[in-house]
Amino acid sequence: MNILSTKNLTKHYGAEPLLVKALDGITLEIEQGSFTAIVGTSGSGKSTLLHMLGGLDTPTGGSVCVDGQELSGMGKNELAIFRRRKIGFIFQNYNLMPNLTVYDNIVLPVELDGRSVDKEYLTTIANTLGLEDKLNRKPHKLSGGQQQRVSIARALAAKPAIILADEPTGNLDSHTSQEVIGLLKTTSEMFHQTIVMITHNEEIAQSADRTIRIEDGKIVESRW
Amino acid sequence: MRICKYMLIFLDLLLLFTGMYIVLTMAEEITVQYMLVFIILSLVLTSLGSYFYFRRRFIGFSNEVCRNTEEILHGHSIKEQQNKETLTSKMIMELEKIEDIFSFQLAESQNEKKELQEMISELTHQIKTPASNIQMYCEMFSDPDISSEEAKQFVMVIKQQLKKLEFLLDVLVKSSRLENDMINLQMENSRLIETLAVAVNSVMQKAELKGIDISVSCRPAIQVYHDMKWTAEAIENILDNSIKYTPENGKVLISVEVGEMYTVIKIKDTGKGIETAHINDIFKRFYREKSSAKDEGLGLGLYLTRNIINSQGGYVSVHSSLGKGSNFSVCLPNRTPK
Repeated sequence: MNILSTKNLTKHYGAEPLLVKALDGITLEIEQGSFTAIVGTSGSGKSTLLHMLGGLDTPTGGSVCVDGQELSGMGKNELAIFRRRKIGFIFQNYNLMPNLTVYDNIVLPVELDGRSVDKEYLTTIANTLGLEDKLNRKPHKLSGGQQQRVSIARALAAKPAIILADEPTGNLDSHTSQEVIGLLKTTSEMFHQTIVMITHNEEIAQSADRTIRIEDGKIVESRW
Repeated sequence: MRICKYMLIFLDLLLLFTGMYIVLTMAEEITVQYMLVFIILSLVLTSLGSYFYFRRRFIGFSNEVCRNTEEILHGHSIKEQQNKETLTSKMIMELEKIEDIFSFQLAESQNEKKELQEMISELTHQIKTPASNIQMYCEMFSDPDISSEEAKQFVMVIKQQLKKLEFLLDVLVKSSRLENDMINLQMENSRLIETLAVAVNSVMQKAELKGIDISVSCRPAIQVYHDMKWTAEAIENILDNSIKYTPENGKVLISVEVGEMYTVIKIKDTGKGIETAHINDIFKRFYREKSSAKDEGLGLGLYLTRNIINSQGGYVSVHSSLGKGSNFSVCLPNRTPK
């Protein structure tokens, strides 16, 4: 079953002679429970595509359909709730709240939704990510790799159906990268989650179920 | 719930009667008395009214949730309840998620069951051949006119067939361990080098036969919280594969690195490597590479390895390309027990 699909998705900036085509007619289908890696040079439109899939950006043309719902048909509030409940984002620059503790950062998406925190699950995530003794610290007291792990824990805390990760291992050494990918794979197997991940790392791309290569806003290769 | 309801009604009535009693026995002006009576009556009415109002709301809510749960149970998505800031929407979306996870797990376990049945039928089929061969040669043995030359040959064949039977039974034993709950872990903090020694020793004979050199580099002081017996078996299965797919006089290198979160056991071989397209399939149950169909095995070893390592909180990854050998990484978590 396809959980994510786009049809002729375009995103243009500016107007004709200076028209920039960030995305140029992307048609894509992603199966539920799969692990997809998106590769391509910088500026090829990878991040734009990921933002479109998560409803963080609006397309100029075409449509995005997530779990049977058309994103363009949703209002601003509806979209915010949709993101909160269905999608876990892992940003390249972490985007952690500096004035909240690690624990509060992790449970933020759950608490925003007014749900009670699954303490047992949270302990499991914190333990597997090696964060159990850092929960009361502020993010700026942690190393880059640790902050990255906090942002991964935050994306996982609400058990979203889809995890969108923008170079989640971009600032980690190759060894820690492998660890992080291993963790993502384990949780996605447990909760039948779909992962779409941008990566520059060939090794990680190799371990995905499917690799999509994007150049100049177009899919140039799609390999299973 | 029911007690609350009766308490509320009882308190209301109490308020009504005591209020009335106090007001009516007061020696005040008649208008003040009327006013107080009115206030008490309206208090009683609002509290009863709000009770019945919230009761109805609550019943409505639970009815809606029940109705939608039925729909979800039948596999329908509740379109009108998506992404709303209401209690019902929150519950419905959560229920849908749970339904999704469970139906996925159900499909997965049905699939596994099917595979297991297929394997059993294949195994029994494979066991039949050597068994009937042995039977046939035994019958030929009972013929009094066979020469000693022939008898030697028959014994050879029977020995071969018995070996095959032994191998198949070994596979059967292994596959019975595949069920996760069969893996009974006895975790303890022990030296990794000892585990590696057990694993290497059990494949040494096979390696020597092919002239493959196995070298281990691991600091003796490295300790990991793990189950020695099962981990050794997991590593043995990887080594077994490496030896199987490495040509004669090749090399297998085992090295251990301690990372921030995991201790990584790297197993590198100079074998033929794995095709990129199949790299994720090798850990699947019963996966056999097409080109290796003639070799012994049922595709259980690496599946078992992954199960063993996963149940200790670690994971196995592989990095390989065709013709360049394979790199397996077995990662065991560093965390110490609570």
